[in-house]
Amino acid sequence: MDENKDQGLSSNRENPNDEGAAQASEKARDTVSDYDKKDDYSEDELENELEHLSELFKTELDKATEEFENEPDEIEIDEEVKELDDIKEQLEKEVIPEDMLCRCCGERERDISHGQDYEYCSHCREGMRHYPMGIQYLLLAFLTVFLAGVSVFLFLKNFDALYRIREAEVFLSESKMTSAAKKYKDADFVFSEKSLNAKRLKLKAVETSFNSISSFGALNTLSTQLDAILSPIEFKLFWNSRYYNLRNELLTITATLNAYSEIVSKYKEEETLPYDTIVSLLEELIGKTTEIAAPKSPKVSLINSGENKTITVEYNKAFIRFCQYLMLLQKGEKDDLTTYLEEIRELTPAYVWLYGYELGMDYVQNGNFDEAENIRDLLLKYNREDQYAYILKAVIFRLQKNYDAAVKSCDEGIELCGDVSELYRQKAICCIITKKYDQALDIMKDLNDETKHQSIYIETIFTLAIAADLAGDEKALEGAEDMIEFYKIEYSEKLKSYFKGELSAEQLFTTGTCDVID
Amino acid sequence: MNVLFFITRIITFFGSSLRCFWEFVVCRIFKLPIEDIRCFKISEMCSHIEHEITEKAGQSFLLCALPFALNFCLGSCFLAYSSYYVFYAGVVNFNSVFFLIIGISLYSNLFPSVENALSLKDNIYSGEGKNLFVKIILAPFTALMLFGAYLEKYSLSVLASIAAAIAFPFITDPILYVISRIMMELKS
Repeated sequence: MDENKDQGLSSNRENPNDEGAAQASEKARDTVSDYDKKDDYSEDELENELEHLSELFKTELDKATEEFENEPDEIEIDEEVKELDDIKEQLEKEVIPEDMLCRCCGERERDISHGQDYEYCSHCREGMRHYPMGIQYLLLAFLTVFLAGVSVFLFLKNFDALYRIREAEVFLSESKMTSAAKKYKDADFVFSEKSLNAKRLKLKAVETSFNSISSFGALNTLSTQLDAILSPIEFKLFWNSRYYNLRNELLTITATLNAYSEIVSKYKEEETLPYDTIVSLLEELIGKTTEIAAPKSPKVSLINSGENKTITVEYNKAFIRFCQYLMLLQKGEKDDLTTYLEEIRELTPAYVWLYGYELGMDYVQNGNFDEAENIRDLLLKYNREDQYAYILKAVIFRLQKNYDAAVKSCDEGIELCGDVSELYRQKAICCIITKKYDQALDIMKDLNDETKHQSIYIETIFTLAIAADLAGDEKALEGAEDMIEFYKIEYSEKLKSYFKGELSAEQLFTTGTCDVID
Repeated sequence: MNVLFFITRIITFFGSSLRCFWEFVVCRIFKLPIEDIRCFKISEMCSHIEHEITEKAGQSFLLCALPFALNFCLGSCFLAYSSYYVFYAGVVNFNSVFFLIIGISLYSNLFPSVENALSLKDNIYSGEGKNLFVKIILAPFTALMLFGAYLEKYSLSVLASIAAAIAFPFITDPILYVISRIMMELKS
């Protein structure tokens, strides 16, 4: 066997080619198989063979390596070796550069088919299309829709009140102060029934009431209302500053009228008032100061029984002048009256409700129709529902002998301001002058019916007497005379002259005071 | 600027969350990939969904219009009650103030992100073959979206929505008249 082995090895050494190598391998395999066939063999023999085999392996390996190094192209690589190379290449390929990794998963390559800068792989992109959202958002959406429905329901529930506010705003824009004030109060009433405090409505109602004021008694009421609506802190807020100023103005006017009442009350025992003295005393009030109460919280006043805070203000000069005007009017002086009213106009043009009608009538009686028309327009500008504006308008037209326009003005005033007695009377006067005596009598009879009209005054009774006389209705005339006697009214000089025949009806209503009174 | 923007979004979290939800809905309708669904993050995309920019004009339009329309309608419902009560009638109570806050919150979150607004503009006006009629019709809407997006970017949308809430009853006054006429007809 050794000889065979040696032969095999020597043949390999002698012919270093593929065929030789194959033969040598075959011989090595045969040698090993021979050993397998033997039943027993010594250890030395086994060891020797193993040594031979290792030498053979080493020789063949060196030979193959030498061949590969010398002529690598001629060496044929087995398929199995090729597969290993492919796997190696593939492994090398699957190592993705860091800048090409998907931003989301960090494992796969970015899908650059959507752009070079696209940051996600196609797998993650597909997942992003079905991104879930938390249920809290869905619940929030449902809750919002539900609350929106509740909101709309609450809006429609008190819609009447809101519509009244809208009507009030429309009236305000049309300068219909009386209607605006009424609508604000109506809307506030609706909210009050539901225990809701509508402050803005209350404030607007007070403000519009002040602009359409018809009596001094209401002034104190308005200031009290303002104190009830706003707290001292709220008065100091800048958007409430005009209500704070209004409140102080109202209290100042009230203080001025109180001072006037105090002065007059000193002489109430006397038969005739000392008008000149009172006018002088009123003149002394100009520039003097008085104290008015500062705003205070009604809740605080129960706890804090300390001194109430006050504000020092000057007496209202415009009202002092008006009080002086009243004194002189009562005295019977007519020369300087216009001066006082014009000064009031100059001091406070916005107080047209104070001086407007009186000044307008003054101008009318003096024949100054242009100025009278200016006053009329001013009255209408501040409040289109001012009855005195329509009365003045009717008187101006009447004295300009435009009787149709005068009657139309009366009708306009009645439509806007309601059943104002004076407007009906002015209409009757126009009828008297245009010799429509029956119509005039009907108007005056209706006016003097206590069941229909509350306000019956001297002028209405006198005009009824004249209308009855002209219409030839003796019964009506008797009724008028009975009323004069019942109310103990003294006949005016003009009326006496009329019944004496010294003055015609037209002269009575177009000369002097242009009315039945002196 | 981002911090202030973030604070305003937190203050108006109601509207912010809702707008995120509407944007999410639109993205899911068009199967637009959503990159970041978080609503509140300290970036210029706070209170917006981060999603893949679309190149279709219709999708861009709906992405801008749907959240705007829904938040506007819902906000108007809230302001119809609260702003009329608080600013028109002067009734200040818990209900009116609560609904006013929600209404202002919704009005503060009407507009899309600057990115979406610019995408809308590009999809409608850039490129060839775009319909001139659509360009004209959508011009005011696009301008409004761009204006609103920048307004929101500079944290001015909250102030604008407060001003809108105050002016709401006075602007919608004519509508009040129409509603009243309808209600009178229904009653009669």
